[in-house]
Amino acid sequence: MLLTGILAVLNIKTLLLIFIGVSIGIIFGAIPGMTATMAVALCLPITFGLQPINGISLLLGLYIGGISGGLITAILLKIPGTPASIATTFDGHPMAAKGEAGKALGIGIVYSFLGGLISILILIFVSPPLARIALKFSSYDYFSITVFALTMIASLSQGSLVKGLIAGGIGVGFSLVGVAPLDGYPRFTFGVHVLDGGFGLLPLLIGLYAVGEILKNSERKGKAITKDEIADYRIRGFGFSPKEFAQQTINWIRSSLIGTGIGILPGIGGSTSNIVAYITAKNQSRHPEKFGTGIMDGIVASESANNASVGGALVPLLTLGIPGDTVTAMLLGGLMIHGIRPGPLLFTTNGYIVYSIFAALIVANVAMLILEFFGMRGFVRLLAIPRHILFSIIMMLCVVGAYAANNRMFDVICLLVFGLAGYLLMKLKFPLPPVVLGFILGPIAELNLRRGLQLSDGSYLPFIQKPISIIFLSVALVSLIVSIRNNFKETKMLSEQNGGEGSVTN
Amino acid sequence: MVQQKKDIWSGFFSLILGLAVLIASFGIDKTRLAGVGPEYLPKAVGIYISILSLILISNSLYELNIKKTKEKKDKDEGPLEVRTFVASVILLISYIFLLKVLGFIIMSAVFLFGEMYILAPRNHRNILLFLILSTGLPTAVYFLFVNVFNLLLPAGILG
Repeated sequence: MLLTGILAVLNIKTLLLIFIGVSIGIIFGAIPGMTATMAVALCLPITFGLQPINGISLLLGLYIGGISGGLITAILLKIPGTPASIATTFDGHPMAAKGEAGKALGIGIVYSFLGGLISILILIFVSPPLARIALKFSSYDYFSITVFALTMIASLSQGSLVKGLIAGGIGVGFSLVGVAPLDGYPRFTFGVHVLDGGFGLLPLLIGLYAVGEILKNSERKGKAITKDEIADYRIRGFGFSPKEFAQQTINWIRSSLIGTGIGILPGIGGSTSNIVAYITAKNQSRHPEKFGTGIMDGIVASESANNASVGGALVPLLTLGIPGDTVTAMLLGGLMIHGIRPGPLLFTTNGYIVYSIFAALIVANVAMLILEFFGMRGFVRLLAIPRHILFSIIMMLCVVGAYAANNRMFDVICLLVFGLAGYLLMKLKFPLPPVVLGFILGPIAELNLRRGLQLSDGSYLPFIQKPISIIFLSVALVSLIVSIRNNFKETKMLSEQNGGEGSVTN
Repeated sequence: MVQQKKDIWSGFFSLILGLAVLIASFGIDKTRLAGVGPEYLPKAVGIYISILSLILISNSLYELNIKKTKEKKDKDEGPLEVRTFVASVILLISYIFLLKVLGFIIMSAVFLFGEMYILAPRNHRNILLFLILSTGLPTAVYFLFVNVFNLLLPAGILG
C-alpha cells in the first residue's frame, strides 16, 4: 500500500503536474492581492478531468508554492505576497536593504523547505494512528469536534471576536439552502428547484475570495510595480555558511513545531504561525535587540513556521475530514469530486491515496526548493505585470472555473452573487475564513447532531456523557470564554490608553 | 469613518440577515423523525446571528460614547474610484448574463478588453496590447479547456 501510493506519484505526468502546480502557486503567492486560496480555487476545475492522484498532486503543489511564494515580495519589496510571510518582511527586507537580498532569499527558500519537511514528517507519523483512534468516534464526538472547530475559527480569526462569530453564522446560513440532511426537506429554496442541491462550494469560494477581492481592488487604480522598486540581488550558493546553519538548528526546529501545531488547530494557519514563531524566536534569543535589523534568525523563524503549517493543516483534513483553513476546505472539495472522502476510513479503504498524498507533498516541497532557487529571476519578472491585466484575466478564469464545475449557468450566477457578498462583507470588515468554514462545517455539525439525537431518541445526554465529546465541547467553551475575556481586556486597555482624545481605528 | 461607526452598520446588516433567516425558517415544516427537525438549525442560526448583531451594535455604541472619538480618515492608499468600481460590476454582470447567448470566446474578449480599459490608469491604456490579449487569451483558454482538459464551455453563436 505504501509502495503503490508512492509509485503512483513517481511518473512523468504526475511529477510534471506537481512542478506546474508549485510554479503557479509561487506566482500567486508572490503577487500581493493573490493568494494560495485563489490559486487552488481557480485550478480546481482543471483537476476534474485528471486522474484523482494527478489532480490532488497539482493542488498540493499549488498549496506549497502559494505559501512559500510570499517570501519573494516580502524580501525584495517589503510587501508580504501573502499574509503567511508578514514576519519575513521584518528581517528579510532590512537584509535586502543592506545589499544582501540574495542571502535573504537563499535563507527563506531553504528554511521554507526545511520547515515544510518537518511538518510533512509529523503528518506522516501522526495521522495514521490518529485515524485509527478517529475510527471509533461516534456522531456525538463528531458533532462536538465540529463545534470546537467552528468556535476556534470564529474566535481566532483576525479582527473583532463578535464579527468573527457572526461571520461563522453567515457561513452556516449559506449552507442551509437546499435539502436538509436525513429527511431531505427543502429549505430556503422558495420553490426554485435549481436551489435544491444548495450552493456549490466552488462558486462560493471563488466568488468570496477571487471575485470579491478583485472587486475591492477595482475601487482603486493600482499602480504597477516598477523595476526600480525591486531590490537588486544575486544568489551565490544558498548565501549562508554551514556554521550559520548549525546555529539556527534550534530556531528552525522550534519554529517548525510552532508552525505545525498552529496548522493543526482549525481556523489559523500560516498567516498566524509566522508571526508567533517570529515573536518566540525573538523572546528566546540572546540578542533580541538585533531582530528587525536584518538578521538570519527572523527569516528562519517566519519561513520555517509558515511552510510547516501546511503539514499541520492536513492532519485534521485527512484523519477527520474536517478542514482547518480555506485551502484545505478546497482540497476537501477536490478530493470529494473524485469520490474520495477524507476521514479515518480513507486510511483503511483507500490507504494508497494517503501515501500518494504524502509522497506528492514531499515532491512538491523539493520542487519548491528547486523552482525558487533556479527560477527566481523569472518569478521576479512576473511581478511587473500590471494589475489591470492580471485581475481582468483572473476574473475571466473565475467564470471559467465556476462554469466548468457542473456546466451550468446557475453556478456562474452564484459566483456573481457570492462575489458581491464577499465584497460587501469585506467592506463591512467581516472576516471571510469563518464564512467559508461555517459553510462547510455547518452541515457536518447538523448531520451529526440529528443523527446522534435519532440514536438517543432525542436525548442530549450522550453529548456530555461520551468522553471525547465532552472534552471537545469543554475546550470549545473554555477557548470561547478566554477569547471573550481577552477581547474585553483589550477594549478596556485601549479605552484607558486613549482617554478622551484618541481614536481606535481598525 | 471610525471603526465603531462602521461596526454599527455591520451590526445592522447582520441583524437584518439574522432576522430574515429566522422569519423564513418558520415556513419550514416540523415533520420530524426522532430528535430535531429540519427547522432546528435555521432557527438557531437566525437567533444566533440576531443576538450577536445586537451585541455588536451595543458594543460599538458604548465604545463610541465613552471615547468621544474624533473622525479619522481611513489610511487606505489612493482615492476611492466609485466610477471604476460601478463600471466593472456592470461589465461583470453583462458578461455573465450574455455568456450563454454569445458564447465564451466573444463575451470573454469583450469583458477582458473592457475590464483592462476600466482598471488601467489613464496613461497605461495600451489599446493594442489589450486587443491582442483580449482576443488571444479567451481563444487559448477555450481550446485548452475543451480539447485538453475535456471540460465544456458555452460555445454560443460560434458553436
